[in-house]
Amino acid sequence: MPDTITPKSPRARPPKPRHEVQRFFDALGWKAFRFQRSTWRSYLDGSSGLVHSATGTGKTLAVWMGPILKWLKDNPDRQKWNPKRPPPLKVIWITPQRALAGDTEQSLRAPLDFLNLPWRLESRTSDSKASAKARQLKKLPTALVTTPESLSLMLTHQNLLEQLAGVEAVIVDEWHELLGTKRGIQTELALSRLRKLNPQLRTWGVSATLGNLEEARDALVGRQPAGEVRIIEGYKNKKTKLESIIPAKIESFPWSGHIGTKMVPQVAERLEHVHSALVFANTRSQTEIWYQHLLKQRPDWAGKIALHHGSLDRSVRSWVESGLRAGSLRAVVCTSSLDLGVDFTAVDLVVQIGSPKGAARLLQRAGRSGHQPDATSRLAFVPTNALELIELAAAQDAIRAGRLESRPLLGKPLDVLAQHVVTVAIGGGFTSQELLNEVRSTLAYQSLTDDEWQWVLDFVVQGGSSLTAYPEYHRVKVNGDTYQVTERRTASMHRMNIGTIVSDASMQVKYMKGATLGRVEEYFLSRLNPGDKFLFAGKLVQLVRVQDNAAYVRRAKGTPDTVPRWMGGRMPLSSELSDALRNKLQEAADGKLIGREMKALKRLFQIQERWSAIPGQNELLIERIQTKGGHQLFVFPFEGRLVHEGLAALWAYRISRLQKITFTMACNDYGVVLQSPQPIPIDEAIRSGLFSTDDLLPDILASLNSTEMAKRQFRQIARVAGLVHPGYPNSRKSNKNLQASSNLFFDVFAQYDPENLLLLQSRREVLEQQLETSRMVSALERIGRSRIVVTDPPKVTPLAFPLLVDKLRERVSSESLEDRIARLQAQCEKAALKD
Amino acid sequence: MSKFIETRIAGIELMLLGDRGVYWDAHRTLFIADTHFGKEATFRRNGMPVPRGSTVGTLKTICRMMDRTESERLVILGDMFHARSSLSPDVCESVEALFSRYPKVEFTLVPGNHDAHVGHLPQRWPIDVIESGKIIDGISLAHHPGEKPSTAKLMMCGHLHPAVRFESDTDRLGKLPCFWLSKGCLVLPAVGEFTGTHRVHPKPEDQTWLVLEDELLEYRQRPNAKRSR
Repeated sequence: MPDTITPKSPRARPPKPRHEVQRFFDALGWKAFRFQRSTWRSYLDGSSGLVHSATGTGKTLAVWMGPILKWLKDNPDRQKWNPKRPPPLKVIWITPQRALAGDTEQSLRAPLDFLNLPWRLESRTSDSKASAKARQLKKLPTALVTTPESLSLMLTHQNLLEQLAGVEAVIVDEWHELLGTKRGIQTELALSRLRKLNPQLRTWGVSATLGNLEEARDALVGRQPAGEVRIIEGYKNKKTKLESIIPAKIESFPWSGHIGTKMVPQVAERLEHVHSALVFANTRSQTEIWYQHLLKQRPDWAGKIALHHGSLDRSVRSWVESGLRAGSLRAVVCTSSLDLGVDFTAVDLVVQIGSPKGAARLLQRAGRSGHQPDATSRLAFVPTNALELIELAAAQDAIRAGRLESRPLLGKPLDVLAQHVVTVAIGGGFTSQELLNEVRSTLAYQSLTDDEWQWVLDFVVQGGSSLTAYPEYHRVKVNGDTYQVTERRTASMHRMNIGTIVSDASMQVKYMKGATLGRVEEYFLSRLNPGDKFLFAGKLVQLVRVQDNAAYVRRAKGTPDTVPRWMGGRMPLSSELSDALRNKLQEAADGKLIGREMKALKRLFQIQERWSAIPGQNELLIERIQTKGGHQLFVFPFEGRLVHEGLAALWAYRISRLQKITFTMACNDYGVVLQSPQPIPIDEAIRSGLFSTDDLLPDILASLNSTEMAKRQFRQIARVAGLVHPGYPNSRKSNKNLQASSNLFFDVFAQYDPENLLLLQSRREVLEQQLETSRMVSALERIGRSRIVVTDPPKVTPLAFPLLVDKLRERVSSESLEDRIARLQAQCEKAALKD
Repeated sequence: MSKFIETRIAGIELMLLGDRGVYWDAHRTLFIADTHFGKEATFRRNGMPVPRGSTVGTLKTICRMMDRTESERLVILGDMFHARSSLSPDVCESVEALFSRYPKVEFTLVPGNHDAHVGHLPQRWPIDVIESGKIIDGISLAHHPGEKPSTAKLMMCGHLHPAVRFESDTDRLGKLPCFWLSKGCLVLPAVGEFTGTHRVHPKPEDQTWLVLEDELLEYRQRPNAKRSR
């Protein structure tokens, strides 16, 4: 935009909005990036869009200054600005973590304060005070920072709809975190509602760079956006430097393991030379262990290093975060809990311990360091076993080639839709066709069939399809053609249970004097006895007693009996990274070791080659070996753990059809091992279609305890759809009468309403999300085109070793239930005799 | 595994049934516990859509046991109904069908904690409500497990919905409902279909019979086994 000629008497005219914003940037000593200016222009044009970049430089201001510029344009007369009469609600800012709301509010406030805008900016999350929420119900602030759950909740208040209709823009922060999850779909539905209230609504998103940006954009803006839709790439010239900390003695570096504490001295040394570092570990227990080891290595760092993960008390986490902001901490050992959120400018190094599992994730983590636009992001990778070095080499290749992971989208989950339908029924009601059109305007439900829609309506009105009787049940009522919730009790129950996050029951961990350390899952506590010592929040504590839903502990000395193992996402290697990994192995098979990581593994590759073979890209390596555990069959598809779990069960099932045999099996990201007391007829199995894609689905269903898995998945679905209620409002008497486990619900539905679509959904989710069936199919197709290399190594090879030491857990058998029980009993008795 | 197991407990001949009842041939009596009739209706009344059918399913199981054993008396060891709202018209109709199917059978209820909230059952129903602790020919009847009265040879009760977790290092079958005999007190598994289970930890000297679908298996607890966590 060329500057227009300035009029002669500048006093008469208020300053131009553009100059005002310029003034703000000047004050910070920044220069607006081109992508920021282009985002503002698009906003003023009425467009929607998605701003993405791998590292987080200036994306917030890019989307936030748009509404500010527009308001300055519309309200040039400063005389009329009155902070006592702030403008009505204009912008809703959605953040995926309510803990981030405060930080977000702060960074959004800076330009408002600088420009003296009369806007009111507030947060509304489940952490907000009830008094503030009540005030907001009367008049919402000009800009509201909130979460997807709180946004849905607002839709249940009919008297808010008028104010919500005035919203000019919704900005969704960290959209990649929500995309491909049920929370993301909840957001899509809420957005469709807001678009219905204001068809001119702009939707903007901020996201990390993904493999499927177009889908991310379409999910964000819906299928009928008002204006143009843009994808804007953020600051591109960010330099990123990835390096590996290679074990000093690679010969004695273990072939397996996931903790990697052997590397502590080298990491401590690396931390000497930084101002401030984030040390990412993959699990919460690993952070606890690494924190302790770093302290032991450098006792003088007490108070200068800290620990951060999602189970720690909010106050502890806030303390760590402010230390990072102030630059007073040398290092923070953390989990993905610090993947999101406000940038810490002091951080100049990110350390990743163990496999990052994906290239995009690695790049994004690297971007948490070197936050000035001209600084370099640095990431040091710390392998926990030798093979992980290949993963980093592969990740670097994937990043270089721009092959970043996609966030696969979920198909139309009916549980989330049922929840939304009740939300809308409470917030003023709806007619069927109108809401159907609205719902279909989202990307997630574009293919929702009339039958599915009718089922969801039936479900919320009478509990299930009209063929199955659900007498006495009423949630939504139909008056004429309007669906409404009139009962206050139903409404308040629904409000309490809005959301799609289902977490395991957890308990507070407290000192006897009352200070709270954080939360751990009840499952972990149930395995402890009073007196047991465990690491938590970076301290060694001892369980005193469990009382009133809290675990009381005191400080302890000595060594821990255990570290809490939190149930958590066990993420598989992404398919992009798996692909790059196979490529790396091809290079190694060709004798080309490129890069420090691969060169360091020279000897390991030699051993692998000598004892067996290095599988090339178009080969499937199978190793046969006999140990004292029995006959072992190692297969290496390199497809990620989830796919391997499915494949292992499938293969075990198919072999077990050839002869009576029982397998135990284990999987990791590289391959699977099948173990049996008797020789495994592999050649015969291959001949009779072990790797075939024929009859795949029936074989998968037969091979897995898919019912058990579906039951587990049903737990979440039952909760989201409102079948199970974790709590009731204002009810002092116990609700024991109304408690039943989701397992029990599953059984009752399976027996008496087998066509219930929520059941079908849980089976579908198991196949799609847990077993990644589509990845299984493509893996088998790839294997079908591959050359099968079967070797008989003299010893367990470097590739096979980690699988062997994994605890064998899953079991497939062609023996009968009765046989299994008999064996179990025999084992118990044998053990008893030994005692 | 078998559909029933005949056993002698404290000198009393009993037949444990895979359908989760106990038949006492000497008195031609069938014992069951925790039917929780109408639980699904209560859930629906409180806004949770649970399909109909589990009450009828439970009743079918009971009838199967009645027919096979040709019992002349049915004793429900408590928690016959889940809550007051469980007595919905269709549930009452199904239960009345049980009474009319066996016009000569004597029905007895030892009230449980849930029955206390249910209040009086309809007058017209041919069922005797007896006090907890009544002893019939050496068997003391109760809902809550407890100490066996010294005047009785055996105590029979429900309430717990007992189940044990059955697993070893290499295999697991999950939680299985069971009959649990501990210190002269025989706890019956819940017969109601829409009922959960409660994990119990039998001691080595206890006797436990697992229910797999509708079959039974005697379970021998590992002696000296630590309380498995």
